[in-house]
Amino acid sequence: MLDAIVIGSGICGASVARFLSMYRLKIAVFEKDSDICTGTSRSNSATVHSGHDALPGSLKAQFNVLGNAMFDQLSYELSVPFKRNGTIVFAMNDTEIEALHELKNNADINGVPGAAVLDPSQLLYLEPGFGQRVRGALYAPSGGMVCPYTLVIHTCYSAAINGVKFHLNTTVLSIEKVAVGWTVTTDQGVFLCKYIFNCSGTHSDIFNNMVSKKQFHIIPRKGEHLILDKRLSPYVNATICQIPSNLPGGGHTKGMGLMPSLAGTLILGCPAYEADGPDDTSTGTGLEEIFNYFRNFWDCFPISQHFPVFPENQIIGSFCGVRAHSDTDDFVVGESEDAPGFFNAAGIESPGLTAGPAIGKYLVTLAAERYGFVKSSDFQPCYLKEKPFRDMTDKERHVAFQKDPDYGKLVCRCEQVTVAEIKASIHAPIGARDINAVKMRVRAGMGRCQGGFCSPEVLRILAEELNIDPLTVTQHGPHSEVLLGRIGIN
Amino acid sequence: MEYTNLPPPNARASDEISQTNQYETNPRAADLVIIGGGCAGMAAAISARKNGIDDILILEREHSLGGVLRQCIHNGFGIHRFRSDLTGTEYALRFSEEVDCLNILYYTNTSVLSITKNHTITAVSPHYGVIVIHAKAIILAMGCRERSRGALSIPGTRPAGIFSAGTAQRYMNLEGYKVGRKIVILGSGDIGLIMAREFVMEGCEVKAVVEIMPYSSGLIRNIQQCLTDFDIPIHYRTTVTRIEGTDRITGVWLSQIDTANRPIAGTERLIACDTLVLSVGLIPENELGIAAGIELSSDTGGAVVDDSYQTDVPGIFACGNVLHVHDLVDYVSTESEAAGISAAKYIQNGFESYPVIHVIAGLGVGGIIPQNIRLTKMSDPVTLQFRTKQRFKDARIQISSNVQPLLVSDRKIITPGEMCEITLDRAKINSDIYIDIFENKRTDENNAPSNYKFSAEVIVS
Amino acid sequence: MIKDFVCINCPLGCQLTINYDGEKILAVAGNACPRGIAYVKQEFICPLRVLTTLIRVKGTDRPIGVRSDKPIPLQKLLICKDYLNHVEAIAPVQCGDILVKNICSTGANIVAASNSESKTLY
Repeated sequence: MLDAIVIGSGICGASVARFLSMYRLKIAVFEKDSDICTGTSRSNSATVHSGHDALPGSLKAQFNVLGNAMFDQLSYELSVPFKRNGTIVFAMNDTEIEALHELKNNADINGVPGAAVLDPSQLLYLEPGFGQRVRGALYAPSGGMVCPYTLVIHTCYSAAINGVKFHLNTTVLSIEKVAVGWTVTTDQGVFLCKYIFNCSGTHSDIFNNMVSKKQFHIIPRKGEHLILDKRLSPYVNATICQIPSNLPGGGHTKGMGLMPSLAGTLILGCPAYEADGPDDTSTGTGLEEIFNYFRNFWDCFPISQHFPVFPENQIIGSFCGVRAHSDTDDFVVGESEDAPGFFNAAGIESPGLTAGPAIGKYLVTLAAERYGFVKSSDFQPCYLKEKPFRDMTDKERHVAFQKDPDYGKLVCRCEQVTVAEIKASIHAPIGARDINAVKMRVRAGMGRCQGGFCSPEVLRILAEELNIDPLTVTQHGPHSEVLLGRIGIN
Repeated sequence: MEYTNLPPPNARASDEISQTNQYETNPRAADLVIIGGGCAGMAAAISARKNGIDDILILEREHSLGGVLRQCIHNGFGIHRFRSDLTGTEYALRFSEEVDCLNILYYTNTSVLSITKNHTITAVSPHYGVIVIHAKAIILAMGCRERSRGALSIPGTRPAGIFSAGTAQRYMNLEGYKVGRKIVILGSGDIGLIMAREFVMEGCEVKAVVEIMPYSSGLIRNIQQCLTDFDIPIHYRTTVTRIEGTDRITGVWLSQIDTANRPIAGTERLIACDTLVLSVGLIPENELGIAAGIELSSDTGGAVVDDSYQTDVPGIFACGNVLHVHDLVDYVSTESEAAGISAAKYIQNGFESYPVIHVIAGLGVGGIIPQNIRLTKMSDPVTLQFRTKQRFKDARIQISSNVQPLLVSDRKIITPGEMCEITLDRAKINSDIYIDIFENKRTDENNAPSNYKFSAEVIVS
Repeated sequence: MIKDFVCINCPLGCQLTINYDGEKILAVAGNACPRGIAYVKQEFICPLRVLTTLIRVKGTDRPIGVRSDKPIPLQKLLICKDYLNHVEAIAPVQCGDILVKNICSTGANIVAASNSESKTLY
């Protein structure tokens, strides 16, 4: 019998699992996909929000600000790329400037440190190059950028190191109340546990509604992003977006913007509209929206000084994330009122990535107090990982090579990833088992050639390290085999 | 064969290069370092050796020389150079055998991490770790990469089964795998056409080749011997507008497009397939050059060079696909030999400064190599190579200087898919020259052209 | 009667037109060199193509490219390829080694177009 089952391995599930692992409990995470962090937490704009645009008094506001403050320590403990580069929200007319002041009010009420409304000259002093059409901006210095999937993956690793068992390819089918707690039926077997933490993203309504009469409904919303070449990154500092009041489709989004990812690429996005289903991450009409926006408003952004026209030939990729919007219009966080022992981290849409660690901490602290969890003395907070080869100095690279000659062979030359790192990702606490899993852990295949050169090598290494037939290596789990046969045989 | 004149991989004890604690205080020096051991790099190395340079080092990131030609099992190579119809592998072997014959040194599995304007190269190798080399001259021969689905922003899902043609070719020809069974090919460039034939030979079904332009960007003979021969349909003015499939691709939506390249409503249809192969363009791989501050041309994607293939950094030369995308490897070899000779002269004589004139593209002309011509007062010929931006029928290529024609050359047909070559007498060049293309309508082969003008207007039918 | 062809001898790919009567070619137009005439005469009777494909190599895990040493009938290409699917070369193979003589009675030999590689790549 387990003490706790966590459903979902996104930022909430991972954070809950890690905080739970500070106590003497038997914990399992059930993840329906073939790898951790494959949902909303993987496909987003990588922004650590300051909290100025969350509705005062909401759980979103509360957990956004709490979460934001945790990132310095977390990024250190878990070796996660993170930077407080600041957020700038700009306005182009009087209505928008009024909206900026509202945001500033929000920021004050929400407890966001250092937010200020700037006029054009102050803005240009802070970050030169804004276009003539920009009439003012809100500056939130506590805003930052993080590598979202590295954050979640390393949080999971930390939980695993501290004893949490991760069950991949495990879909929860039903949950029933029993005397000691809960019976959880999955497609991999039936499990008994005392507490359940529902962190299942766009499916979180399903599980809540199995156990509680206080029901809510998730409307999945999707949003596309474009990824632009690293060549552009020297010209972007803060995260910059336009206040969304005049965008078609209204205020589902935080505005269209330019996010400098910590990998060096530029992320452009993102719209928000209803998805076809809880797992619909196909790119579609939202791409058009992004193109139209930036073709019209590129001149507003400082980068236009160096690239006068929106550089469409610098696009290297696009992706789409789907988020869980709850019909309660806020996060659903806490122990279920009529189902004690069942905890929700549901309706997690933006600012979910920022709020996740705080939500995890809150839920576990709540449960620990209520149910008398005993602290473990063995908890290791840190997952300290070696710098990636691409970030090393030449001397560090040579030292790494001396310890392990596999550091001497580059596989992904766009992102400078070596054989050593790819092998390490396969043997990690929750190791990579397919091409995408390797990609998310070490960036092989995320560069400008999008895996054109390196994927055959990655496939070969996976087959070798896992001792499997290369024909069984998949892109992202069952039924997505990369190769369909051998030559010469029909 | 891995490399010559070096201790075997595992014998590090007596290795003079990898005094492993001191790589930075013991950098290597070389006369000529060539980045890339494909056909461009090999031809440049051989030529430099034959022109008196002994100390040459080729740095190659794969485990053997040959570059992309290692995976080209089809024929059609060497027709000009060797008067022989060779496969890509046979062509490359001729050069790699000569490299071995001449005992030219090369490191394989070695990736260059950076180069600087003062000719310092930093690379990493599984045998020596990080190595630093100071070279008297550098030749860039890194080839190119393929445009990906991501660069095209094709909407839809992101399932398994989407490959660029070169990656599919690599899986098939170097590793012996089939990447799919029911295949749609987007793009009618030569690589896509060649792979269409290979897929059919391996028992796969190629459902269609889809091309956005009204004509193919590949060689016409490849349409014949890769598509027509095998009854593979090609749809022009058509593109893929959406990809379907969650785990593996299950189909693609095709649409016809209008002259503004927008899908025409009502023409969309779903083609079931399990594989999408993309042959949608090559991009010279110049990231090393950009980081070093070498000037690039946005028309060719490669470095700006003079007629000796020297970039704007003295002593750094470029040749092959990294300079501009070629159609025929025969011309890669010729170009690279010239670069090798130039590098040899640079090493022997130092930098020779000459006044330079510019070659300027007129209407309809795309990237030109070389962009600059040195006024050396010699009388050797200068070869200009360029691509057109559109198709021309009954075309007249005019090279002029100071509004005076220097040379005209008539071609029945010019397409962007085939590189044009013009040779000029250097003695006639003394100021900037312009390349223009006119489409002239001739009623009879023997008559003088009827509406041919010397202005910059282009008549396009 | 008129028929169009594309010459595949060289990268020019001349578009040829013939005027023929029954089995006799009366005139050829569009060729840039004499080889085009020879090409279209052959193509009219029996199209020939050089076969280039892959063959498995016993003793390695990589295939090698092979080619016919002269063009063979287009309609026999897939038959020959099917034959080669049941053939394995034995390592080591050198470029130029004759692997199959007179494949499917075409009079052409199949020769190796590259050297076989050993199993260890790096």
